[in-house]
Amino acid sequence: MLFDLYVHTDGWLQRLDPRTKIALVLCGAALFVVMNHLLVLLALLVLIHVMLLSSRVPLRQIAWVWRQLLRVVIIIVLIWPFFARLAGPEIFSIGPFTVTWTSVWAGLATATRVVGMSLLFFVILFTTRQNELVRGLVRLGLPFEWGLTLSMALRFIPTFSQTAAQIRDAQAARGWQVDRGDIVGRLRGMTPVLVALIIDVLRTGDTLGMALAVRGVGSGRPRTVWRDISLRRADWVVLALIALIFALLIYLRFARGFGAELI
Amino acid sequence: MSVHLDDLHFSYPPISAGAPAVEVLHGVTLDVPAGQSLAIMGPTSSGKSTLALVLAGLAPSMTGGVLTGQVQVNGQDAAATPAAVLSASLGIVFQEPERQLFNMTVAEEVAFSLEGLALPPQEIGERVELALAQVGLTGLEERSPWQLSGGQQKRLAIATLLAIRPPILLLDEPMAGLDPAARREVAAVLADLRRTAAATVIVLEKDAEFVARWAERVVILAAGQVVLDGTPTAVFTEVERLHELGVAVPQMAELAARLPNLVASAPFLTARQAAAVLVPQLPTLAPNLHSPLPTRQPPVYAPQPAIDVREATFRYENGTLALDRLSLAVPAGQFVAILGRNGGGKSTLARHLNGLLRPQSGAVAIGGEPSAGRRVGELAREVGYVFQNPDRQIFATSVREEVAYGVRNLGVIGQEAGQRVDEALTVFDLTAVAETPPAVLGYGLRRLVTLASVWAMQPPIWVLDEPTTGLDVRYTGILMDRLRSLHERGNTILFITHDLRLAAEFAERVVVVDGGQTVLDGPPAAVLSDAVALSSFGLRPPPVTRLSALLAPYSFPHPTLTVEEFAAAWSSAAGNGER
Repeated sequence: MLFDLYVHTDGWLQRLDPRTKIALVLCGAALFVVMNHLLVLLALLVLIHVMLLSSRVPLRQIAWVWRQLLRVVIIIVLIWPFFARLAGPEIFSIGPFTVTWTSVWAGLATATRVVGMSLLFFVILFTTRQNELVRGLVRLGLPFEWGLTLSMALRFIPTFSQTAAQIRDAQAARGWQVDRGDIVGRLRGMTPVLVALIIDVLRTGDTLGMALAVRGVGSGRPRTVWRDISLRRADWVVLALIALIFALLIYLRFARGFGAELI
Repeated sequence: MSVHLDDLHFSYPPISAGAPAVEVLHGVTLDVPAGQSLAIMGPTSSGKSTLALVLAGLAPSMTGGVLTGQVQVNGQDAAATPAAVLSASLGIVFQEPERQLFNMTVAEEVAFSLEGLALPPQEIGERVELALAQVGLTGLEERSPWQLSGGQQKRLAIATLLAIRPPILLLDEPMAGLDPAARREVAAVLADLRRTAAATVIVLEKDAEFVARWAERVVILAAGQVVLDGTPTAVFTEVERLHELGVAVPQMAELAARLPNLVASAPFLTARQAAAVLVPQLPTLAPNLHSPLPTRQPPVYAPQPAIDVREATFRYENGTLALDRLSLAVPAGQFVAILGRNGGGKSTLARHLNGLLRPQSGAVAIGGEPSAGRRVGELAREVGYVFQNPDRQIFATSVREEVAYGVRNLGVIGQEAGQRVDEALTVFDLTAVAETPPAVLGYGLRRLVTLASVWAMQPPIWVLDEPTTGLDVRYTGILMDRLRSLHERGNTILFITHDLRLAAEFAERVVVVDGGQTVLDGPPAAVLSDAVALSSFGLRPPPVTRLSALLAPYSFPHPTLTVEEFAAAWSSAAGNGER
């Protein structure tokens, strides 16, 4: 689950073209940036959950993201009010710090932005096969070689992490343990694992370069695509909806001041 | 001609500035006609792998180095044609499949090569389907390549090339790292290619039994030159020469060379062929054939088991049940061979012995003490563990440092540490390379370095996980010889292997692990001769044991486990007959 985030269920988000989802995420992220009102931000956050759940992404998958973010969220909510120094009804003050209700709301708003934007990112990862994502980026203008590099990087993360685990085992069997102590000591203790891993990465890179060459990469010929992605009717509908809602909210925000204030 | 080599020389650039260039091919001349099934064999550092890179157009273009002489591949000059263009003429499968599969699904892996040929999507789909059918992977189209078994990965790598339909296919050690069942899967695919003769197939391989069955022609490469070239029968008759060169020989060819008074009506390379030749000669021996085999003395062990695994159960996080209430007691001083399919639980069992894994239920005791509560580092004093891949541990800047690393971790210092390291370097003939970085040594030497590093730790128990993988005959010989002397000194040896010939020759006890349990356990003569039981776990008795089974109806002693045993039984009968 850690490496292949794609949820193998058939939902409406999974069926969309990756480019549609990229547009969705970019517009969503922009709204998180321009909107300031806490309730508007919370509403956007709820909307993301509704989208994920309605597309059959399991709750535990979403909970996993929350767990990863929990520490950051707690820190923001607790620390922000002390440093935001926003004018408003005072709750209490300690020494140089004056905590106001406004600062507390601002902390919550910031935490909501962090969680919302992270979840948006996972909307893509949970609902898009890695190769389709790369294909989408290539169709949006990323050079093929870059796309290939990106997809191979994703592909080899689990391989290298497995190799690292095997190396740790092999060194442990010779009595290796990570030194207790300061960071420098610990880094030095990691040498037997890191060096062996780097040698493996270099060897893999060598072979991979050859494997790509013998499968025709670098011949200078144009390539075809076997199963290309395509924008279907559903994609156009969703894209139109995104454009409409996004335009409307931006108009309201900048012409009418909707959601411009924190509270 | 598919391939035409004329006086080919190749040298790699020097390792460091000022050092001499390393010439690995010294004038190779070879013609391979279209449609031939050719096996090239040779010891480590014979230049085989370099020859493969030259043929694929990867050397010198991607490796550097200097090439002289002629290399024509399908009429093209391989040295002057970019590898990506040459790939339409010659497809190469590398040794390690996990480093050449980089797509998200099996089907896309095959399609990738075809997209590069700019074929229309419709035709790509058809060719993907056909290529996967050719290697027997139909139905696995949407799986991730790295979730396949070793044999499936190899077959997928072959399919990615078959789909391109090049006139020449080149496979670098297709059998390396596979269990016997997976070898048969790959061998079946290659046999199919030979039968249809749709392509010239060149295989670089160490597995002599496979080569003997499959190849039309065998070329032996040694020190960068062709030294033998002919049909398998012609080449494998040169047993003594091949032994000198360090090239593996099919067990039956070895046997033929050892039988005195053999009237060889026809040469033989397989047990079945051998039986056809030997059966007619049995009547002349018959009166003397009842002499029983000298039984191997059952050794006497200390009462305390060195390893005691009781009802151990282990399930990986992904849900795979790897050990299922497995029990195994090994007396101190025993030499045990562990056999079985990949994924059957052998390595998981081994990892329980030095504490890398702990049983979720059940118990493991090492040297009479429970291993629970003892750290891996502490158990390292008692259990030396040799991993399958030497490169998982090699990191130091010199061989000496690498060997000293484990010793130092045990807290041994000063003069004693130095002595142990020197002794280990001497035992494994590594003194000459003591100051060389181990990572730049050849594979066989890297394996010896890992053995020396365990040797210096002086553990009473040795656990070895497929240590002979990738080694040629010579290095396998060194390894087994050192294990034998460790065993003679009273060390306990647990040896995981797919090589039943080694198990037959060295082990005192053979255990087959499958489905997380010990399914067969007994003396080699009992386990390795039970063809029916072995076959249900993907294994076959060694050729010489299959042969004695075929001769058993004529009252030939059965089972014989080694060439020596068979030859002894045969010649004692023949010798008596003459008297």
